[in-house]
Amino acid sequence: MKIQLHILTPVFLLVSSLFLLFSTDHPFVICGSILLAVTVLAGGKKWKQLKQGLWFALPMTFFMLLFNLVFVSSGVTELAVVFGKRITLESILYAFLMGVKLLAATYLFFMAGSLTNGDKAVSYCGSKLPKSTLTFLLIFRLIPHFRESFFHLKDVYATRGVEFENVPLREKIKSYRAVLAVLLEQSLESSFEIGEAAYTRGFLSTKRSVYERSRPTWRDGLVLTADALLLAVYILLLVNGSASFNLYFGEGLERLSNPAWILFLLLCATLAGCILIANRKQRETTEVTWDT
Amino acid sequence: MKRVIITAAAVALVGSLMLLAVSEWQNAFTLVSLVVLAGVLALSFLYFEASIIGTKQIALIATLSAFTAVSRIVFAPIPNVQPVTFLTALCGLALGPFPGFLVGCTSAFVSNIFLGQGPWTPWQMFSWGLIGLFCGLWGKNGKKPSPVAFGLACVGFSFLFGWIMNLWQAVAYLRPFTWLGFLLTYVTSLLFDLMHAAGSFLLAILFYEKFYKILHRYKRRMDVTYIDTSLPKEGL
Amino acid sequence: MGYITVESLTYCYPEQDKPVLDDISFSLNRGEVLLLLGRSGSGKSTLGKAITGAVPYFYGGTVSGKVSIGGMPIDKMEHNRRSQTVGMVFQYPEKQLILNKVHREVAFGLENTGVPEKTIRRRVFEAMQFTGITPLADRDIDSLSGGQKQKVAITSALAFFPECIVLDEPISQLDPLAAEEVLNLTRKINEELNITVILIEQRTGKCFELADKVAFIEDGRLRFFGGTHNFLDSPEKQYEPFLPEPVRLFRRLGIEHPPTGMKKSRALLSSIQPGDAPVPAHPAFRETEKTQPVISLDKVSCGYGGLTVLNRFTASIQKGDCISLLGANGAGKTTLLKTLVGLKQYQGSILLKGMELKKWKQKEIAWTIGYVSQNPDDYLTQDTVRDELLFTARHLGVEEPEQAADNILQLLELSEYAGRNPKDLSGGQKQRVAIGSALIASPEVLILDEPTRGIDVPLKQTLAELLRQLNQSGITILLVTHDTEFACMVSNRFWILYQGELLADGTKEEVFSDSLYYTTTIHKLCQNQAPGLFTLEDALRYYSGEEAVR
Repeated sequence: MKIQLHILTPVFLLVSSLFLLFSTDHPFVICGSILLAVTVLAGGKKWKQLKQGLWFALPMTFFMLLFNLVFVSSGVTELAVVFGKRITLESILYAFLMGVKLLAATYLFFMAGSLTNGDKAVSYCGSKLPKSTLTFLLIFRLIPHFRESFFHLKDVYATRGVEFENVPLREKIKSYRAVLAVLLEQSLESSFEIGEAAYTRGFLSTKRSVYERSRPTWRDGLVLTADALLLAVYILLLVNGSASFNLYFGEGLERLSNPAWILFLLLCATLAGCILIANRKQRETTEVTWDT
Repeated sequence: MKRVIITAAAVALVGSLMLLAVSEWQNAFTLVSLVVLAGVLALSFLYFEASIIGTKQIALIATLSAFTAVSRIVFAPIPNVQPVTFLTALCGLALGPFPGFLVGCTSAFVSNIFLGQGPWTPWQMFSWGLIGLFCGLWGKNGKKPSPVAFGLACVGFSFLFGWIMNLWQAVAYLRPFTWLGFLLTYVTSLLFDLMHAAGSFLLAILFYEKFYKILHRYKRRMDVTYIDTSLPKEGL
Repeated sequence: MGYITVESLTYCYPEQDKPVLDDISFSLNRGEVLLLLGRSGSGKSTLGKAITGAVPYFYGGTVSGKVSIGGMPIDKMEHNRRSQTVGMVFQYPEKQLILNKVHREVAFGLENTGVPEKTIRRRVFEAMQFTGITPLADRDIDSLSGGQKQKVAITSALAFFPECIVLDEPISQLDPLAAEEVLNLTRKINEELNITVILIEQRTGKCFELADKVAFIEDGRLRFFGGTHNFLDSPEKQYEPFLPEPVRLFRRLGIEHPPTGMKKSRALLSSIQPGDAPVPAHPAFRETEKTQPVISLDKVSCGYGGLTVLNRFTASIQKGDCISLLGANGAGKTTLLKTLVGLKQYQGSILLKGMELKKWKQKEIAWTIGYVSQNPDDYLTQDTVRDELLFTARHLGVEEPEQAADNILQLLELSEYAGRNPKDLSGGQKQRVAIGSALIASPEVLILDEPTRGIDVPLKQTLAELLRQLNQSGITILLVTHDTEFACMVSNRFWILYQGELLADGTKEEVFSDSLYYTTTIHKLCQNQAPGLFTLEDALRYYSGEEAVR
């Protein structure tokens, strides 16, 4: 998926949706967030990330479920009494709800990531935050290189008789000492060279200009408008008190049927749709293609 | 500067709005802590931009962050070795508080690109950054603690790291919030924290001397940047 | 007054007492190509950096003297202006490229120096057009070959529209084909754009054809500065290893004013009558015993990430062989070596002394096959040379490690350095330590991955002697190299690897006589007159009838 959005749009999306998600426990808000994130991720065919998110959220959900079953007796709807301990529907529902909340938060991060174009981010930040940008650029450049060196050095030390497998933890860590020491030394040595390369090419010599300045387009307008609408409706619900929710006290239950929530969910879906439309590949490309 | 003030004011405004609007203290805490966290991270990078740190130091910080991130990635399959804590602490000790903070921060962010980015990322950035910062303060004036002292400090840092992560986890997701539940979150993570601490201790005991020596040497090469246009006679 | 003038430049790196550059003065005209020669560690790179201003403004240190470009002393030049005037291309392609996409990389320097936005795009495009990398514009830098990366680095320097470019051993990490392309590009930049070029190089064969001036540095002092032909004519013995092979031949034959370039050399050679000696009968290499081979590979395939690196590779290595493995980068040479020492998974069968390699333990393999990686720095973790050898000996479980270490130190003439920190040794000595570490368990086979990469010419000759000596003492050797001259000096058997398959296997007559590409310069030069000549010694014997004096 070629990313068409301006770099600040996903940042704004992430901030606003995290605000939504973390300001309440309301099931509709959580559902809306997950609807938004999953639609965008699925639209981008990010199946791997969808799966990965589940793996992150499951253990915590399991823990909360167990905890609520064993220790929490609050709630009205009693399901059973085991060894004199009440097991309530509310506590189980809450564990699930919070699990989904964690999942939604994870997915929202993934979504923002999938909408960020690294190149555009570099262009944008390069002029605003040159030092931080160079730091990250160098890190991204060096990681694959170091990783390769690491495995190469591991090979070399295996031929020098160092054993990495089937040894106790202490020995194992010890085995990596030589490998990591050499890698560190070589890395630091190369830090001078790469620093010199940046220096010779005039880094920090003056205010930077921007090579491919990305400008906001109708795509960003579309997404931001949908997002702003969603936010506005939500803030109204918040001020009106409809967004407060606590199952244990039965709080918010009577307003669950508030038709504004339907509007809210619709707006979530609309936002997801807008993002997908905005991010669709352009037919006539205005970008200059270098390929001949 | 004007921009920073405007941003700070906007952040404060949004923060107080959230506090007003949100009824449950748990959600309020979650939101406000997120805002504060984002503010701290943003300010530290703004400070980085305004500092006198030059290309050479940037290259060093980037190299160490990449090294730390790679160690984290390659050791990910070995469950009890978590080298970031040890390496960040060491970088802080050898290079100073701010570089230490940056190494912790950036390596957390970058390694998560490979291991999975999520709501925990800012917290990890903050926690590891903090470890680098503390060690930097500890190692000021070129103090070099003994390996055991450093190992014990790494044990402490491992727990500190786990606890910061737990705090937010518990407040954001535990319903209802009870002190018992809070405590239990810590107890369940105790096993992980213990493994983390043990791994860090071993790393510290086994790697500290050698790595400190290497870092210290480069730190010296980094610091000496005088330019003398006339060569002293005895130098010839 | 030249374009670049250096006046009594002396420079010391921080915290070092010995000057790296010692009282250097020269002056270079605009649009000239200066070839800067010298052994590794002689200070030639530092001189290059002094012209870009990285020395002393990036590295710090103590400096005296004056460097000026176009009449402007560089200490008066702002960083911004300096970057735009002098570009630099470094030795390691992967340590100088910063961004992820080619066209962005080219733009990086322009952004840094605040070139207006509209101009950047045009300059990026034009620079890429000029160097012919436009088709790579949108490629990820990680996906490029070493040669392509160097071209991107050159393009990035060119995008400044600079007046001068310093190239610091730009081809030392490349295979010969890529190296030639980079040199051709350098020539084009100089000829068409009138950019002054300072070329620092070890592999000098083709470089002399480009150069207008030559400088030779030894221990930080400028020993020679002058026109290329003056350098070629100079009777100084220590310059000899740096000269191209044909020139060395002519000088030895006592011919004055030797030409550069193959065509002229060939023309000159055809006018020379061979001496009395007949076409040399090659010293018969030791007949390898046709007994059971030490290693035999049968249909070995190997790959990773869905990529086939070795493709049904079949060959066998006999005791006493000294095999040179040639082939382009990416042909699978390193993979083959690593497979042989048990570091890679494979299909097919590899028999080491009659037993399947998979059944051997890693340590047992290391007892039989010593492996030396490309970079000797990989081996330096201990505080002394002796400890370094003991490290391997103890991990491999060698009996009486102390004794073994002393033997190796003696064999490799490292005894006097036994107590030194290996990091303080010279490149050649470090390499010996690495070889020593591989030999500590007295293996039967020694495998070396590109031992000639990045080392200077005199070192290459000592290395060749060492390997020959080891081979004669009964150690079977397999080495990877791009250097056909070196291969001819040490090996008795030659392999050419192409896309994971063995294309050729035989003696140098079998492999090199009928080859367009994989052959030596001397063979290319002499093949019309006397087809059996491969090395300088061969040619000398043929044309002068004397034994070659090395």
